[in-house]
Amino acid sequence: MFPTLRQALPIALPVMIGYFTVGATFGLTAAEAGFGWFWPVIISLIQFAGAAQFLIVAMVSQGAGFIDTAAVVFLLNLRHVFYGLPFLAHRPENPLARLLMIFWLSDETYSLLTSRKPADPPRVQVAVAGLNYVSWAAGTLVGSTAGQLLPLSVDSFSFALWALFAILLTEQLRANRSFVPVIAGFVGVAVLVPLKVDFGLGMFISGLAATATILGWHWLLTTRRGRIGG
Amino acid sequence: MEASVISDALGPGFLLLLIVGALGVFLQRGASFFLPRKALEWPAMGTLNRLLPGALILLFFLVSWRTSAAEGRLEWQPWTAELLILLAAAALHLAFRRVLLTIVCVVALHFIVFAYVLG
Repeated sequence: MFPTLRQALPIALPVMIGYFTVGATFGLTAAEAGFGWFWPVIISLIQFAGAAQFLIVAMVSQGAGFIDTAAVVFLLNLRHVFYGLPFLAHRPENPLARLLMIFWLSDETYSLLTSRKPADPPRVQVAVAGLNYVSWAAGTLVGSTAGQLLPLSVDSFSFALWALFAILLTEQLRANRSFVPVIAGFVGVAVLVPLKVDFGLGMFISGLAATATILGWHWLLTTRRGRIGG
Repeated sequence: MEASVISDALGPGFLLLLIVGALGVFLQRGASFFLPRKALEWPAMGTLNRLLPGALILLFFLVSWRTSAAEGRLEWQPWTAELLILLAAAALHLAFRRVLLTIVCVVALHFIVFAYVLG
């Protein structure tokens, strides 16, 4: 076990540092939003889902219901469906290792492991993913404890969550170089205009509308390509 | 909502949400292990994978503002100030690409604007 961890540590270290700081940010913002020190750590240990964790905190603190929150988180995590594909050829044979690999497969771990050529052995991949998971949870613990101990109870600190969403949105637009998410977002909220709904249900309805808009855009694009090609 | 109220209101229901959510994430992450490959190679899924997260994050802002406005809780001056600070956060992130640095700067800026400018 230790030789595997020694082999995995230098590979995982850059992501571990990033995870620790973002995990601490999550712990701090969740504690400031009123989740105490305990719940942020539980969220990180059970969910381990990055942006979805921030969304859970944001939605619950805005008064959204648990079912609405779960539905929106499910939509946000849809991208994870694709993560396992590159690992099909190298997936661990051990059933427990396979389960852990699925549970620990995050955006950054995925990017890190798929960029390694040649691919690391499955046991090292599992160890890298595990180290990243531990540093995320440890960061959350440090952040949420600091949020309880330090006198940070000012509105400005709660605003950190909004700032983080602004950063995530900027990163999404920059990475995809597409304004379709912006159009889909405005279509989604336009659907709500005639309705009288609370935040949670509003997120769910407009999330479905945004999904339909993106699928519509995809259909238009493939139809046009088909015409040009055919 | 008061800080302590949220923590007190969380209990077995919230824990169940986390467990169900985690199961959902687990099934999504493990889809290639559980689902036929043909289903995963549906091209529209690739497009959703790329574009849906950005749309949902934007919706978080838009729906929050829309519901606050509908309930008469949205005050235009603080809202405009916060919108400008969010745009500054995006600019700072594009310039430095340091999440923690951006958040610290934005929190400080928010504090200065709301404590000393808007009073």
